[in-house]
Amino acid sequence: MIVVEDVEKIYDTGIVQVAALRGVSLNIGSGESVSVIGPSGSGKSTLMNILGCLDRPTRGNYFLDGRLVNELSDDELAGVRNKKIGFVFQTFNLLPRVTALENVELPLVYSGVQPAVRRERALSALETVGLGERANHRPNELSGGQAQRVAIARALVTEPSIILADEPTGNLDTKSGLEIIGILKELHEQGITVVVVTHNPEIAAKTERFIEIKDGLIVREGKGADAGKMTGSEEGKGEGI
Amino acid sequence: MSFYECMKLALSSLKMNKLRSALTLLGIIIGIASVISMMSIGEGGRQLVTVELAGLGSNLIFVQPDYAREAMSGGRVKSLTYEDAQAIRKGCPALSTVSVSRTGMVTVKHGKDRYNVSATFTDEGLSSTHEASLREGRFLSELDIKAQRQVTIIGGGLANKLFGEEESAIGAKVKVNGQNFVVIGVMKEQGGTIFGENPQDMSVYIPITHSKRMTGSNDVAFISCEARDVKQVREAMDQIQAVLAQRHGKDASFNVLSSASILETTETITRIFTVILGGIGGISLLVGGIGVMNIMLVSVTERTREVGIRKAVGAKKGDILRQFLFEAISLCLVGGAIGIVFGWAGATLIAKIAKWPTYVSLFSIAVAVISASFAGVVFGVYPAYKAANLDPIEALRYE
Repeated sequence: MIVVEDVEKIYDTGIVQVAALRGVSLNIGSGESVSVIGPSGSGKSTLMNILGCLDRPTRGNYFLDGRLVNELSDDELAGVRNKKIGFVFQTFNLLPRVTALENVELPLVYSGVQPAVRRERALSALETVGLGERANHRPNELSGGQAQRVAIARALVTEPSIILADEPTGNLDTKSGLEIIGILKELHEQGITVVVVTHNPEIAAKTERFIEIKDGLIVREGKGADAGKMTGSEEGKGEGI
Repeated sequence: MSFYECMKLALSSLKMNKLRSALTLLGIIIGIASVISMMSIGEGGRQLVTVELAGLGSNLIFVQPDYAREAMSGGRVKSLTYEDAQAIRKGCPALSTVSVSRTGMVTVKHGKDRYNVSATFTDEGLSSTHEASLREGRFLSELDIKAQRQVTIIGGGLANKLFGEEESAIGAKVKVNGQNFVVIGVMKEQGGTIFGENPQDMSVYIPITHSKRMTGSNDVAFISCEARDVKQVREAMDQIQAVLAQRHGKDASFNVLSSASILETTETITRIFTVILGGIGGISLLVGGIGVMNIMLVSVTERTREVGIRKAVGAKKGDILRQFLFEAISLCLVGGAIGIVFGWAGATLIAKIAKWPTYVSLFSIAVAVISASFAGVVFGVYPAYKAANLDPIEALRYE
């Protein structure tokens, strides 16, 4: 369902051109769970933004469910984000002044769902992540783990085909992190495609497949369980000596 | 997003920053209130003037030297004299009355009391209109004028000061510019104005035949005439022109105006006056509107991340645009509504304190409502546009 063909992303700062992605091709099938790993500055966030339709590639093609995304207008991209993609961010990105329930309702507001239906669906999404009782709390009344679960509920509520999680455990303690990974795993088991960007091999190991990016190129791919082994050939050599 | 939801969202965002919203609101309230009160002052004044002019009757004709022509050509203007008035009276059968007046300052003395007051030098022509405003006595008669009798009619205020409110002034002797005059009439008091004492209450009427001696001239500013019938106004105006041409030559130009045309001109002038006053109010509305724009720009910057989140979950440009635009518009509309109330109250207060008639017209309310919503759109659209076009990735990263 995700087909990326030779995608390049070049940021033009005006003085220099920085290539964040230098020709990345990948396929992610429906219902897969994939982790994207790599050091910071490797281009994994850029890839994430393109997969999430927040950004367009400079060159190359990105097909989502058979539709070429590069040529969509800003508003069409917004529509795709709304219906097909659920985001989970490292910093939660919840609206601070409204309740958990209203945060979860937000995507449905933009897809024009009636208020009563919206409320019902948002509540059931919150229950899915085990936060039904916290529906009327504001983000500052929730722990980090709870906030991230609200974010997952928000990602889920539109019944998207893909959930994109960018360092979802980066701001959490180990225990909450594990809970979040557990929820993502459950979602995957329910048939949702889950793509996790992380630098943590342990999390990558919980996905079916990993893709390692470095300097804007895919340097390694493999089973999720192998993500923790020697990353990159150069480091491998270094260890060998 | 539905209209209702946009409105709800806008109001809840405004509630988050209560003090800020209230202060921004204040700018709009003051703006709208001043538009309303200024316009109602202008409108009240307009109605007052119009009603007074209309009360004069529609068969009035005024004759005056052509001052505009003098100003433009630089030449000396032919002045009107009492003799012209007399000639018009004789030579225009379509007129029922002709009155003439000239004003000047005189000193009125009685015993030790001494007042500098304005004097109206006039003839019996005014009696038809002034007879009714007399408190006691009579107005000038034809004989008073012809015989150059030393008689005067004094304002009610002056009579009170000179003779007390109880005493009759009729027959009393006063010295006007040092000469003995007999009081034959006292005018009713008109009451105070915004400027204090009504100067009419302190004025005197003197036969115009004393004018040359007391003021050095018997030129008059205008001659006012009354046609026998409304239908004869046109005819009377022609007759007046003929008399004047005979006396002053064909080149002499005088303005002969009917009350209808004067009313029309006055309406135009006072309407412009209202617009100018409204415009002055409009300036404060502009300042208030800029306040709204300023706050909306701050708000957009502060809420960059919120915009990023909304965009990430699928808000389109139009959704964001509407959200911020509705905030600006609701500020302006709420401010506008409160402003109308305050403007109304202000206008009423001015009417009470300054004794100036005010009139809050539906038109001025419509102007206020339209300008409030217009201000909302104009001053909201740029910040909203800015928010709508934020890049979602940049916006999400914004700290």
